[in-house]
Amino acid sequence: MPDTTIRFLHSGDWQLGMMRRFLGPEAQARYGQARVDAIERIGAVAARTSAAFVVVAGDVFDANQVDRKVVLRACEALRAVTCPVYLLPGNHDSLEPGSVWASPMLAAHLPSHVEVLRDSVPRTPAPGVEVVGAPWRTRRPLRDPVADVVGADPPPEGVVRVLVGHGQVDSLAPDVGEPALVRQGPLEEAIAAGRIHYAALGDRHSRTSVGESGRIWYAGTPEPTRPEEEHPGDVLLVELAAGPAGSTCTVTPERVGTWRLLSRVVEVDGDTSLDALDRWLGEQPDKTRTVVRLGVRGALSVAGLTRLEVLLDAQTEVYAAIQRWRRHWDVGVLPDDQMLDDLPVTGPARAALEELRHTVASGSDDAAEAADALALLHRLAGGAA
Amino acid sequence: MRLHRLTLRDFRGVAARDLDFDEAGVTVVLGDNETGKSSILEALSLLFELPDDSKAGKLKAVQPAGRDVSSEVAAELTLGGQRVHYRKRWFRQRLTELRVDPGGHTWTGREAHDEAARLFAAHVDQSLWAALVVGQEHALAVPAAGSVAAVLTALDESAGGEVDHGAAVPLVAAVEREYQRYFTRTGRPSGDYAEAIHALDQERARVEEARARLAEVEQDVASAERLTRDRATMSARSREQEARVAKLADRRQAADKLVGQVERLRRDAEFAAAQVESARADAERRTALVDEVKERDRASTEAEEVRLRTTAALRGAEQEWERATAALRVARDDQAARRAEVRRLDAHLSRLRDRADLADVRKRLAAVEEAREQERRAAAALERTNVDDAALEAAEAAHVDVLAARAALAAGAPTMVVRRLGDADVELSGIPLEEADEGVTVDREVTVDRDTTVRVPDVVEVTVRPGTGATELAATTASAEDVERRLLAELGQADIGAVRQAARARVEAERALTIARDDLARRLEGRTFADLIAARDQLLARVTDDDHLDDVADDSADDLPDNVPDDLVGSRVEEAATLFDAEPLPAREFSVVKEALRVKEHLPAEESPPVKASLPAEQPLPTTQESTREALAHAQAEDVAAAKLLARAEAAGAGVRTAFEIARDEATEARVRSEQATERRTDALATLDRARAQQGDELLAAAMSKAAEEAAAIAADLAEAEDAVARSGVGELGERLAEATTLRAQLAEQVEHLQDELSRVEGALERAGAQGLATAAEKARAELAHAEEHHSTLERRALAAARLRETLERHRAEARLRYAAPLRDRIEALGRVVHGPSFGVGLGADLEVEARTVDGIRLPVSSLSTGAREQLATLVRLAIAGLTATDGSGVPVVLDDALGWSDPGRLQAMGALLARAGATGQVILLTSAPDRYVGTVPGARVVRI
Repeated sequence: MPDTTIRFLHSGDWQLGMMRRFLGPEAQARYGQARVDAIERIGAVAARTSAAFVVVAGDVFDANQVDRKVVLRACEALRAVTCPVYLLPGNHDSLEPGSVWASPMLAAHLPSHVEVLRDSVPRTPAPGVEVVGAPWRTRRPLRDPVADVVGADPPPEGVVRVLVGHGQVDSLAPDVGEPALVRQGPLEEAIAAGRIHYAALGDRHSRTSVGESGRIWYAGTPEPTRPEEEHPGDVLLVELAAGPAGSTCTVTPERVGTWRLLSRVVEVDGDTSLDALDRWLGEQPDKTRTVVRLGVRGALSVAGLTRLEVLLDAQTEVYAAIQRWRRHWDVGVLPDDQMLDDLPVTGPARAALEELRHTVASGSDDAAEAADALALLHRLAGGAA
Repeated sequence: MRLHRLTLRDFRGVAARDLDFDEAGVTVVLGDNETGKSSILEALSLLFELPDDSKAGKLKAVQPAGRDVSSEVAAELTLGGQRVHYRKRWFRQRLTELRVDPGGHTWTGREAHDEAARLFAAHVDQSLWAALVVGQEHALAVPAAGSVAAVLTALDESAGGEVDHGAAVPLVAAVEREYQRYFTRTGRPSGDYAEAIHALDQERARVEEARARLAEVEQDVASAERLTRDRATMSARSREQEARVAKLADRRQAADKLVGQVERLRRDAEFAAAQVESARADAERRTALVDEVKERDRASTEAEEVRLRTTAALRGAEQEWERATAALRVARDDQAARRAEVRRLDAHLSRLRDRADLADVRKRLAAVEEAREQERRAAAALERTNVDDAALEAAEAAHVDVLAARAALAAGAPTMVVRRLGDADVELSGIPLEEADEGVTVDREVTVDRDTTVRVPDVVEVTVRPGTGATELAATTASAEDVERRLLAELGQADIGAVRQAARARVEAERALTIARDDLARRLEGRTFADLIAARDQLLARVTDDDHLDDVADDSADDLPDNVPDDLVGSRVEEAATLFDAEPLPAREFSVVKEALRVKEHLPAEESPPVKASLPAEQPLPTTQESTREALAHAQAEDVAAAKLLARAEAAGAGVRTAFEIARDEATEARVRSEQATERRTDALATLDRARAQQGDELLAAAMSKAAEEAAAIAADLAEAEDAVARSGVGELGERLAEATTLRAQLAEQVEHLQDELSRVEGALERAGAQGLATAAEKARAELAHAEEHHSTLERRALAAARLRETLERHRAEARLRYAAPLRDRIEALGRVVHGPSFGVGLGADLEVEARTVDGIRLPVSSLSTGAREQLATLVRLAIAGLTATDGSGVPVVLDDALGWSDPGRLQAMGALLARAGATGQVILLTSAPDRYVGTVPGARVVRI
């Protein structure tokens, strides 16, 4: 039997229609569009790599009740993919009553080469390969969502089987009591037994290879959704070769993401540290498609504090978003600031200034408010901007 | 600021005035009312306030009334150490001029106005000006020193000069402005901050709404999932039930077939039973028919017997009736004889008595001989006729009765016509009928009012008997004729015509007698004689007529004595009763016949001698009155007994006749019944014969037994079939099928209901799906996040501003309290001059005087008398003036018409204070009262206007 190589793309967690709260309306619109555009980029990768088909392992839509605009744009973007596409309903867009998959609009606009895996009947996008989906029928299943496919009879001789499933594998799940986990053990057994040749999983937004087989993968989300995600923004090119010596599997990430979601915590103690922050923010590429979740720790003079505000205000206009990370936002005023001494303030106003300064220094609960009041006094009394 | 000179031209009522003021000291401007003192302050104010081309309303009031002239004000003053000359003219030849020395800079027109305004604003503390330059309308208002910036500055300085007011005041204002960016004066959020709070609330509400709508959808999803599961379960049950129903229906159909068979057999059995019944009925009818024939036979025989019996009874009754009639006749004769005897004896007695009387009376009658003769002649004439009116009337009535009776008889009795037809002798009632002449027949018509016999000897005898009516009528006729005959005889007349003739003659005779008697009465003048004569005549007449006494008719038979002996009557009654039963016969069917038969049995034999009355033989008449009376009494008694016997005979006769009539009726009825019974018997026999001809008795019996056999066979089949039905359990099967069907319908309904519900929920979900609720919710959450961010930022700023303001104000208030001491000291020092050493004041946060204390009595300002308040206001002004006098920015103290309420003592003290104030500053007092200040303010310069 001659060697046969099956090449296809594995993606998932498109989460179309998702919104991010840290984005303003304008950035939100761009971000949403970027997630739709990622479909076209996936199509381009498919064309470039001659992929036979594309599987999307669940959570195509962020919710069943997404706006019609989202559905129509997704349908439109899918036209740009020229090979067959298999969409799997996941937990966000499960096949529950009234789901997005049941909408007449989707039925009317979904391109013909795109198929929704509403059941586990094998599809044959190309000779020698079958795609078997394990769709979510409800958003809260009470068992391993891929168990039926995992336990099914093996494919015919010479046919490779691609499982398209969705859900967390138990080895990575923080809550093992969750009933809808994908059990890694049986899955690996099925792979070892040659009943399944590749498990294309969705749900995890970080690109992840599960276990040692090299055949169980989370593709990750094509555009990042949270700063914590690891290696998001890829689509996986999977090559399965079947031969007499056994099949081989090669998985190659292909970049499609255009946005970056970063987390950064900086320490500040004076102008030098502010300079560094300013520089770092200035150096980042693609700022309009970059979100920084920023934490600042330390103490600054009133002027330094003002500078920090001004600096962040300016960069916020450039970046898609600079999110103040409240958990890591702890910046105070230096009470012994010489500039306060130099302010031309006497009498009762001076007494007020000194009282506020004392409160800031005491570090009491209202120190932050006192610091703000002090900065305000500094500004109103004609201190440096 | 110092005012040196003020010039007014055509300003209000002032045509022209120039006023100079000392740079220091007190100037008292004294003028009568309406001489323009108040115009001085107004002119100063308008000079800086209104440009020369102003159209302000208050300017209009300045132009002298009715004069189209310019109004002009010029002032010379020191401002910020510079000498300023400022002149302004309104209305006509408008003009503004400003010169500032040293340097001699001049401005004109609008520039002059603006520069003057700038200089005034820069060098005059407005709050101080307002406090010290006082029109008379504000004289009572105690100014608040805290609102006077100059006072604060002065106090700051006196407190140690730690505040640079040049910087502090703007800072406070800036803090206030910053605060007011976020809050209202009352501390409520305002502006952007308020909007941010509002927006946050709104966004929260929107998120909540979106969340709620999404939750509804999720509920619908859960509901749809549940409905789908339920529907699947219910459909399965419904299908199972369907199969169960089908199975039961098959069993039911088989059972129904059996039931159908039973029903057919039942109908057959009913038919067979009807057949049996019909045959039995036929047999019964036959038996009944035979019985009927027997019964008719019996009835016929019986009716015949009855007929025979009643016929015999009728014959008996006839004989009885004849005998009764005869007896009646005898009784009548007997009674008539008795009556005649009574009359005979009675007449005899009268005659005997009359003869005795006559012998006695005759002796006394000679005297009236003549008269008697006359009366006798008249009486003789009357004697010729005995027909009076009554007799005539009786004769007429009797005649009418006869005629009426005859007529009734002619109408009521049958007539019989007898015709002799041949040679044979025919007798009619024993009288031979004449022979008929050749070919001519002779009819004899007779009224049958009694038994009439037509007899042909040796051939036939026909007796025609009249009915009861005819007999009665005949009797009535005979009776009436008898009465008439007797009456005519009595009257001695031949017929009714003679009676009538006699009656007329008697009328004539009576009239003659009346005349004769009248004549006799005239002749007999004494009555006693007349009576005697009349009595002798009567007696004589009776004696004369002795031979005719027996013929005198006296029909007063009823006039019988009552004392007839009972035994006599009784014997005659018993005698009669042996012949008749007086009891009336009962009118009962056939009973009368029996009764009649009984009567007949008791009747004497035909041959027994006829009943005859035992009439007494005629006795010789007694000779004496006594014996005659005895004989008469006896005869009367016998007459009564005879009458009673007659009445009984009549009653008996009537009873017998009634019995006869009843017997006749019964005989007739019995005959008719007998004939009917015979007919019926014949009919019944004919019916029976016909029936037998149709179907003989044997055939009937055979048909009945055959029907019975068939019915028995069908009953056996039916029992078998019913047993089969019972075994099939069809009743229970029906119930089970009904239950199963009901359950099936319920299940189907539930499936349908679930489907409807599911469709509804899916419809709702589809609609919700098209609305993009999740996207909307996400968007709302994002907007909420932004609103929170925005709010947080603004809140932080607002809280910072509030914190700074609060801190600053607190420190300022504390400082102000520290400043208050010098001001209070100054007010109290001034006040003690007026009110004595116990005078004290309390100051508020704004350095305003809150209360005054004198002699330990503390009064709030509002409670002070007008004079005290005016004094206090002046004291505070002088204190402020004193505090600010050292500063170049001080202003003159100008009081218009002040202290009008103060008593002379206080006024003196106030004057001293005003003079003291004049020592450090410019004091201008406007007044119309010359004694208020003149002499009380030492060193004051007085300007009279």
